[in-house]
Amino acid sequence: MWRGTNFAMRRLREDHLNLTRRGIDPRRRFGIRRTFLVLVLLSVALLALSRLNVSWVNEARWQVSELMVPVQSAVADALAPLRSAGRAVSEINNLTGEIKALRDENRRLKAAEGRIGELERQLADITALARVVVDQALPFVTARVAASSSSSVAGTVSINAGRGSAVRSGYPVVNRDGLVGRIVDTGQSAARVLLLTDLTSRIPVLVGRGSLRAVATGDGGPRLRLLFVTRGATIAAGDEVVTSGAGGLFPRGLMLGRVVDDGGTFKVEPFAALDELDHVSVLLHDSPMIELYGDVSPGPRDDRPLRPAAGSQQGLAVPERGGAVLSGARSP
Amino acid sequence: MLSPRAIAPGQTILIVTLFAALPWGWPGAGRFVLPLLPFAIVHYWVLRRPDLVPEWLVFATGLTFDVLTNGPLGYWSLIYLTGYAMTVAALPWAGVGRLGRWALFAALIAILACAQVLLSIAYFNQAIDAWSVAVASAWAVLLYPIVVMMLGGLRGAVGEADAHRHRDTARARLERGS
Repeated sequence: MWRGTNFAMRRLREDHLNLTRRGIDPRRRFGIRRTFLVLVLLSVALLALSRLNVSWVNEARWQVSELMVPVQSAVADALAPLRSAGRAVSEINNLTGEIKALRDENRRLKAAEGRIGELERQLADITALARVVVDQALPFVTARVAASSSSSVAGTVSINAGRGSAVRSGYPVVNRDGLVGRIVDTGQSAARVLLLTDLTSRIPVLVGRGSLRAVATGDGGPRLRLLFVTRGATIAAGDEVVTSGAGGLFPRGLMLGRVVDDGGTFKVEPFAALDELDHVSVLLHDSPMIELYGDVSPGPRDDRPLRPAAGSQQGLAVPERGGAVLSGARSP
Repeated sequence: MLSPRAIAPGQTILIVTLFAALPWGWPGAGRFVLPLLPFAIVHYWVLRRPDLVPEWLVFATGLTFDVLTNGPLGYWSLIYLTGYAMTVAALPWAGVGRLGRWALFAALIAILACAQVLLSIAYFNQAIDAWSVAVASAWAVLLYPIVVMMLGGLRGAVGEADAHRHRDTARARLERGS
């Protein structure tokens, strides 16, 4: 009897009965494994809903995300000196290579300078003769990057301009160096930009002087892959890549990047430093595709993919109607 | 009611998750290390105080990161839960010293890197850039001792004296009911 009591006391003292352990309530101790499995299944279900692009899930996610944009923006402001220090370190690392590249570029530009004036004159003559419709200067709004995705499966940034600034889904986004991406979600005062390097980004492009058509696609890495290149076409490292305008989502001729040799395969290095985005400009470019597909964009926000135009491999998103033109806005 | 000490692991995980979602402007693939930082914190605390890191906290951390970074919902939750389960499974080897724990973390990160690539193939129908994932994983392993150092002081406050007892508890959480 005494021995049994002693044994029970010892069990209580050493807590073999799990009475004092936090989170191990004897009534639900057998449910813990179930909790883990439920959470795993919930994650899988959320992934499936995201993949199926279920509108209410996206809406809810974006509303939460939009709420967080001012918070993230404020925290980013507070930590600005740290961020600057980080950038300074990376700039110092890249300085030698950059000086060499600038010298090479300067040499090339000097060589080309003489011909540019002559070509401009010729182009003006030909344009006048051919009655070519001149592309209109695009109005734009400039916004600050409030948050960015550091995940390799989500190349997006949030900016602090939304529908209130006439920003609509589908509008191209650029910075001083070149194309950055396009708007995929808009709130009243914030928007989400899908970067060029995102896994789901597809942009019809022209490569090199031969204006070879291809589709630049992100793979989560810092460079883009070129798909649907014509068989037998010649691509060389250093070729510039610009948007082709196919499909109408992006205007033709936006500078995108340069072809580089990436371990035996050609990839595109974006001109814009997508890791260091601070301010970006949203081009208020209403795609001509709206003329054709306007009746399929009923809601106030619609990012549903359209069927690509013939010959184009791009997944298109329909911008909203009536992207306002800001008075007095200049082309970037 | 939980004491401030008891919520310290959760607080550090939340702070690092918010930190990792900020636009830091880190160049190249280096920035992809950021999603691994919350997992490094989770891993650290699970090894020392698993009783204070429940599964739902790990799930919520991943989901918060997904929302803040506009990624596919559930992606990082699943990755973090996978890492959590592996960490709990590896608890018997948690007492093998600093180098041993570092090696354990490196092994887990390598497995998680494979999980990231496989999950991206399942989700996007294409693999993410494996080189970027490898670089980020290497950075995470290199940064882990700094995480350990920074959380070392906090660990003293939270306490580790009965950690071995709770290690058994955490393993039991996953194993019970099987």
